[in-house]
Amino acid sequence: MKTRLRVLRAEMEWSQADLADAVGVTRQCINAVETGKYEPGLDLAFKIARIFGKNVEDVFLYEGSETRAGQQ
Amino acid sequence: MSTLPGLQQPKRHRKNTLRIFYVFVFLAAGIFTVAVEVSQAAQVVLFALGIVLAGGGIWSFLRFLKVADTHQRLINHEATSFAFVGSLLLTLAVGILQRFGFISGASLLLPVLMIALWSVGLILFSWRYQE
Repeated sequence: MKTRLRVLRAEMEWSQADLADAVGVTRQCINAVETGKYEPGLDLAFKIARIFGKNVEDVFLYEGSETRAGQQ
Repeated sequence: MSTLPGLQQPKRHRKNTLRIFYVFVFLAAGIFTVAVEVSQAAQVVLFALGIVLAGGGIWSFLRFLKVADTHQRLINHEATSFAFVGSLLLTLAVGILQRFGFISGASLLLPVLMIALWSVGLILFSWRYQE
């Protein structure tokens, strides 16, 4: 799964700690999501997307669906 | 810069529950250690106190799991697996040594060993997610 989280966060000028506090997780968790070491669950993914005022698929991109879309 | 909504879940709360857990565990371990050395009447009181403190440790551990986010739960899961496998291997090694008469006793050491390994696991698997 790919994520645009770091880009979106930079656009808003939020730190990892700011975002972590807003969604109720640790800064370490946000960092792990950004670096692709941890894939968030649905609940966290929706919370993050909602904070940015976007849909989940605008923040997180499932690579399988990308390949499938490319094949069609 | 856009403003973010307020804090949803205090981080401090999570750290405090873990600290409380370690306080309970150290106190219970200390009391159980002292209880072996004292008279039988005092032993009953100390064992009862130790059990209450161990219960407090279990409560604070459950509280820690409840307030942890999904990422921390993943780290905890990995740490618990590490502690389980580590304890299994070490108790097997101790069992073999006991079988050949090298060491004796140490049955109360197992919970302490598991908690120590779990703590090492928490540190190890937290490092994995550091930048």
